[in-house]
Amino acid sequence: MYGMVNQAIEAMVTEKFGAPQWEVIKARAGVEDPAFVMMKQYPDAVTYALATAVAEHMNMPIADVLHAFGVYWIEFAGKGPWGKLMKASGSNTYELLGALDAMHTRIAVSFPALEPPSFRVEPRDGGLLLEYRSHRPGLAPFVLGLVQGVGSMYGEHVDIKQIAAKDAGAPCDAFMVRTRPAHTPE
Amino acid sequence: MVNREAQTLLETLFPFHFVINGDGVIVRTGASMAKVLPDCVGVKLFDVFNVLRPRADSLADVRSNFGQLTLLGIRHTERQMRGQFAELSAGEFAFVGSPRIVDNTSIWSWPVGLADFAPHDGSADYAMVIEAMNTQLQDFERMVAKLTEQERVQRGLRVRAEEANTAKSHFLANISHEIRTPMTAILGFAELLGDEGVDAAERSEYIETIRRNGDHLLAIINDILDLAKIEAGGCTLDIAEVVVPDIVRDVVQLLHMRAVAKGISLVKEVQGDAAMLPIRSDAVRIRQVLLNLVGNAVKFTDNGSVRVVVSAQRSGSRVETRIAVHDTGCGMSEETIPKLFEPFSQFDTSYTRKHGGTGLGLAISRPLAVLLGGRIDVASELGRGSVFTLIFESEVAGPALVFPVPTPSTPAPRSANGPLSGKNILLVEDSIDSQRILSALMSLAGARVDIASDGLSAVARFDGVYCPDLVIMDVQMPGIDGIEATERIRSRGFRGRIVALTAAALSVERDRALNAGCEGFYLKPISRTDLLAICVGNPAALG
Ligand code: HEM
Repeated sequence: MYGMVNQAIEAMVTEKFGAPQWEVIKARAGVEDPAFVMMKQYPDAVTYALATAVAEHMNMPIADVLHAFGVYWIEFAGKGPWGKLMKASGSNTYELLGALDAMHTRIAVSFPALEPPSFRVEPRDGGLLLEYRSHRPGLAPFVLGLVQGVGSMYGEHVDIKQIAAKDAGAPCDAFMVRTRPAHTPE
Repeated sequence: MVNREAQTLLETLFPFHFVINGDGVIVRTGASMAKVLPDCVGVKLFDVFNVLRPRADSLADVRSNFGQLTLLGIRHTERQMRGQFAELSAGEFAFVGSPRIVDNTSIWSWPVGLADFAPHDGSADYAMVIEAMNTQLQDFERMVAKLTEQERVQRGLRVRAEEANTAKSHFLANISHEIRTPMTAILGFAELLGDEGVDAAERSEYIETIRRNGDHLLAIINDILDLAKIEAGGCTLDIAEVVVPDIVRDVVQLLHMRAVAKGISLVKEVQGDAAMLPIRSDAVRIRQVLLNLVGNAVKFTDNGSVRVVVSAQRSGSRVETRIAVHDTGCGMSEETIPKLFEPFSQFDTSYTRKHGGTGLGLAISRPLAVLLGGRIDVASELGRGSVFTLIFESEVAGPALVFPVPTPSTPAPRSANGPLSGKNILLVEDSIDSQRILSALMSLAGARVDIASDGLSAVARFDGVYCPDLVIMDVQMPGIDGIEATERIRSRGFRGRIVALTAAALSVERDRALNAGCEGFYLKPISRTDLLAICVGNPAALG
C-alpha cells in the first residue's frame, strides 16, 4: 500500500501514545525506514506488521486497532486536501459510500499503482447495504471504522452491522448501514 | 429539435452542456450546468457569457468557430468554462464542456460535486492531481522539517562531543602537571635524603617537605576522584534533616584560625527565621561546597573580611536557601568568572601553589550545587571583592515548624500527647539559632523546655529544688563551658540525666564530658528523630 497509509498509522500512534511509543512499535514491526514517503508503494506486509505491532504493544485486539485506524483515517485524510475530495464526492454518508469506487478510481490518477477495494451499495429497508470486495484479507473491521469516521465527518450517527463475512464463506463482506443526524434519539 | 437519443446522449456525456436556438437564446441545459446557472434558460447567450477565446461578439462569430477549443467567461464572476460549440440540428447548436480548473481551490468552490462530472471528463481528475501534488508538497515539507531537526540535533551533539573532548584533553594536561609538581618535589627530596652529607636539621626539613607534598598530592587525587565520580553521575545525595546555619557555623569555626592568621575577620550572619528551618538535604555536600567557597574567600582576601550570610525563602513545603560568601579580596574581571569553574583554571592554579588547595574546589562545587538542586552564582568587582552564593532548593523537614519560635525563657509545650509530653527539659545553649530549633522540636513533641543561655545561669538554677527530667548541654560555650557546667551541676546534687551536644568530634572532649557526669555525648547537627530518641532516653535508636 502507498506510504500515506503507513503515515496515517504513524500519526495515529504518535497522537494517541506519543512519539517514543511509535519508535518502539516500528522497531517491533521490523521497520527501519526513518519515515514513510506518501507516494511510495510499500509492501502490504509492512502495513499489516505495523497494525499487528500496535495491537501487541498496546495489548489491544487487532480488530480494535483496525477499527480505530478506520475512524482515524477519515480524520487524517479529511484534514488535508483529500478532505475536499471526500466532501465533493458526496454530501452525506450514503452518497459518499455510493461514490467510493469513483473516488478511489479518481485517486488512482495521482496514485497510479493504487489497488483500492471495490464497494457496491444498494438501498435496503430504509438503510444502505454496503458490499466490500478486496484482495486483501482481514480488513472488515477497518471498513467498520471508516464508515463510522465518514458519519462523524458529516455529523451523522451511523449504525453499521456486518451481515456477511468472506472469512465465513460468503462471496464478499457485507454491511447494513443506517444513519440519522447526530444528537437525535433512535 | 434533436431526436431523443441524441438528447439523452448529450445529457449523459456532457452534463455541463447547454443548447442555444437560432435567436441566440439558451433553451435547455444539462443537469450539472443547471446547478451552476439555475436561471439561464430563456436568457440570451451573450447576457450570460463572454466568449473569450476565440473571441466572439455575435452568433455569426460563434458559428464560425464551431469545433474549436473555446473558453467562456460567466459574466460577473471569475468562473470560466472550457469546451466547444457544435451544430446540433437546423437552427440549434450546443456548448459542451466543463468548468475550467484554475488552481487547486477553484473547483471546490463551484456548486457541484464529483458526481456532476461525467466519468470520462478529465477535468475533475485534473483537480485531484493538483490536490495530490499539494498534499505531496506538504509531505515533503514535513519530511524536510524532520530531517532538518535531526540534523540540528546531531550537529549539536557533535559540537558538544568535540567540546567535551577538548575539555578532557585540557583536563588531562592539567592533571599531569598538577600531579607532577608535588611528585617532583617528593622524588627530589627523597633523593637528597639519601645523600651522605645531610645533617639532622636538613633531614627533618626534607622529610617535612616530602610529607607536605604527599598530603597535597593525596588531596589532589581525592578531588580528582570526587570530580570523576560527580561527572560520571555516580554521586548521590544522602538526604537527612539539615539545619544550614549549623553547617555554616562549623565551616566558619574550621576556617577561623586561617582567617585569624591572615588578620582578616570571618563572620557568619543568619538573616530571617526561615533560614533556621530544618530542611531535607545533604549536610556533607553542603559543607563540602561551603568549605570551598569560604576557603577560597579567605585565601584570596588579604585585608578586610569574609562574611557568610545565610538566608532562606520559604514557599509552601519548599525552601530556597542562599548562602552568600562575601569577601573584600582582589575580585575578578567578567571574563575570568566563567573560567573559574573549569578544573585547574589558570586563576586558581597560580594561587594554589602559593596558598595550597588543589585547584579543583570550584570545579567540584558547581556540579555539587546542581546535585543539591541549585547553583552557584558569582558577582565580582575587580579590586573590590566577590560574592559567591550557593543557592539551592529543598523540602522543609518534617511537619512544618511554625516560626517565630518561643520566647527564649520557657516555651509552652505544643502537644499534650507527644513523645515528650509531661517532660521538663533544660536546654543549655548559647546560640540563639540552636535554642530556637532545639526548643521548638522538643516543645512540639510535648516537652516543657527551659532555656539557659550560658553555663553559669544553668548552674544557678539548681537550687536543690529544681529538678528537670533532662538537661541538654552544649559543650562549646563562652564563660564556663558545658563540661564545667555539668561538673558544677553534679556537685550541687543533681542526679538526673545530662547529655552533651557538641560540634567537635574530639575523643578527648568526649572522655571529659563523660567523666564530668554526662550520660551521653552527641554530635551536632542533630536530626529531629535523633533528638527525640535522646530525650526519651533511647539513644540506641539513633541512626
Ligand atoms: C480522500 C479519502 C481517501 C483516500 C485518499 C484514500 C486512499 C486510499 C489508499 C491510498 C489506499 C491504499 C491502497 C493501496 O495503496 O493500494 C486505500 C485503501 C482503502 N480504502 Fe481508501 N481512501 C480514501 C477514503 C476512503 C473511504 C472513505 C473509504 C471507505 C469508507 C475507504 C476504504 C478503503 C479501504 C477499505 C482500503 C483498504 C484496502 C483494501 O481493502 O484492499 N477509503 N485508500
